Amino acid sequence: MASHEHQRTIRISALARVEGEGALFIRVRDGQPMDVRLQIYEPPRFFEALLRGRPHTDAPDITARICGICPVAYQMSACNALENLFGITIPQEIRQLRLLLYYAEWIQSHTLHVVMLHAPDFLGVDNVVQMAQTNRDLVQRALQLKKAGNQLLALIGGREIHPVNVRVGGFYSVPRPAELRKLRDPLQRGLETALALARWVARFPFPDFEPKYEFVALRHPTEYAILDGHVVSSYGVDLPVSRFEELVVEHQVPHSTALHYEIAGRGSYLTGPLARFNLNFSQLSPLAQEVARETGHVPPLQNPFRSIVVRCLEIIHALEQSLALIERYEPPARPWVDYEVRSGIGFGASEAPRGLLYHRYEVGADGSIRDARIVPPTAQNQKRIEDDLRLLAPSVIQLPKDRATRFCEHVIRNYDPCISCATHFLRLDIVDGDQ
Amino acid sequence: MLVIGLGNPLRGDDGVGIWIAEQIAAADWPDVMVLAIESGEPTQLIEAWAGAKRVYVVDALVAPLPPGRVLRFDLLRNPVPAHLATFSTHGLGLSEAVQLARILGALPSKLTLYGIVGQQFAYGVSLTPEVATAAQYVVARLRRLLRHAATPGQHRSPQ
Repeated sequence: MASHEHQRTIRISALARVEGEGALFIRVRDGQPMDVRLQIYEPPRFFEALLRGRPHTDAPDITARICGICPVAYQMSACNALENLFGITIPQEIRQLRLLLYYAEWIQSHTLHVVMLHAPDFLGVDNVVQMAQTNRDLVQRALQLKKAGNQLLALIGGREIHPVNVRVGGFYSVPRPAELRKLRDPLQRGLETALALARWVARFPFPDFEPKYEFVALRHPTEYAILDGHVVSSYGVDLPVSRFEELVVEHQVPHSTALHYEIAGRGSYLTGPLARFNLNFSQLSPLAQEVARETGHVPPLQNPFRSIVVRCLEIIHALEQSLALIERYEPPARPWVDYEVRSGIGFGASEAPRGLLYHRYEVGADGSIRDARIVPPTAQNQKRIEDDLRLLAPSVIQLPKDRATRFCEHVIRNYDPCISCATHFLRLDIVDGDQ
Repeated sequence: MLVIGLGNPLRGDDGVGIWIAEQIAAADWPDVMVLAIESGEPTQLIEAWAGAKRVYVVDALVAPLPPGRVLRFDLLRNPVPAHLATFSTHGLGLSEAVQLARILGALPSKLTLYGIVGQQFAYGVSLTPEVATAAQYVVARLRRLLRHAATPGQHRSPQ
């Protein structure tokens, strides 16, 4: 941090405890933030270009490789888009198995973020190792909870990381009821852990910070949307997924390889747990709602630091729903449904742990992909993260360097950013005038 | 015996741990489990070595030493020195996994790291010749260790 007469600059050259590679640059002059840049320097990976010309059946497996933490989200959004195009109706039994697979991902991803990455921020310790010294039992139990999620994911998806069992139209194979029922005990124990976690994190000290967000999430008529739905926002937007690209505008910024997104005419928005919670609270499972009320977390909940509580509530929801689905699971007659390929454009979205994940595919008559478009949640949140930091910059800049750095990282981690997923474009060689 | 190869095969010498794991898995040694782990996320490592007795981790090192130099650490006795950081594209890694496992009482009875000093970590490059030679040496070394070992186990393919 360099100090001039009225100007201070904070530069965090490598963000710790976020997935991927990024950096942050803030400049304040006379107490006013002049420049806030979340820099993503992870190289672009060109997934959309990679898909062009390949068979549409490759899309779920190739896009799953975008993220090692939330591959199921990519598989589901890809399948939704292609099934939308081909007019495939997924039978209820297959849909429920997909829900179960997706809940497994929420359980492991949220547990990882809450306990290993985010909680240490609130306790003023450097990392989970320090935290475990005083919270050994809870960390131990959280690892078991994450493992239960991984086991469920491996059973349905074929393996824990980058599962291989999802295909357009359903699954390649489905588990036997007895195999799924073996997981009831670890998931039930996991539910106890999730309740303890929610009550624990709800007592953390939360900075007083409540920006006016526009929340964007999917909404489903009968469930807390995860697998599919239509796009809603706290400003009254209600659109089918096929019109998502009318809602948001994307633009490239020179300081980041990820694209920025805004709501046309209004600015940044927030997608992810806090958005889902505020927009769809009444559809959370009974236990999740009960704990939410008990701990004083009900909509409107505007404080992004409290997203850690919401993640715990979503883990409770996912576990409660999973146990119910396992209880009534009957294998589908066939693991997948047959379909006819047709040319055209398909749209799909689902709720990744980090927020709304949109896919669009244009497919030719031969079934190959002509064009692909993927909008991941961290890219959508990136401008919102910068706006949060801009609002907080005047007070952050007063702190000593180590505390300022730590606080900014904490703000960024509120979003559980998965920077490797959000990486998109080559960094252009454009010189920013104020740099 | 469990061999865990760590690293990212898309980033040059960082892939040396994965390369070694794949060689051993392909050779199908008896009583050896092999895991190739591309993320250094500590819970995954702790789960991987849960219940194992003898665990060998192979990973690339960033160190001010000639490329291909192999360093051996008894991780139960000595932490990896800070100036010899294992190369990880994620914020958490092997060192944190060992510390966390120690607190949680989840360490194997023997945990050895073979760290290979790398030179190039750019995207899309292959192993540098010195590192490739060192990798072959580490495979041979582990093979010798296995001949002396009598610990039963089961074989598992790399992920």
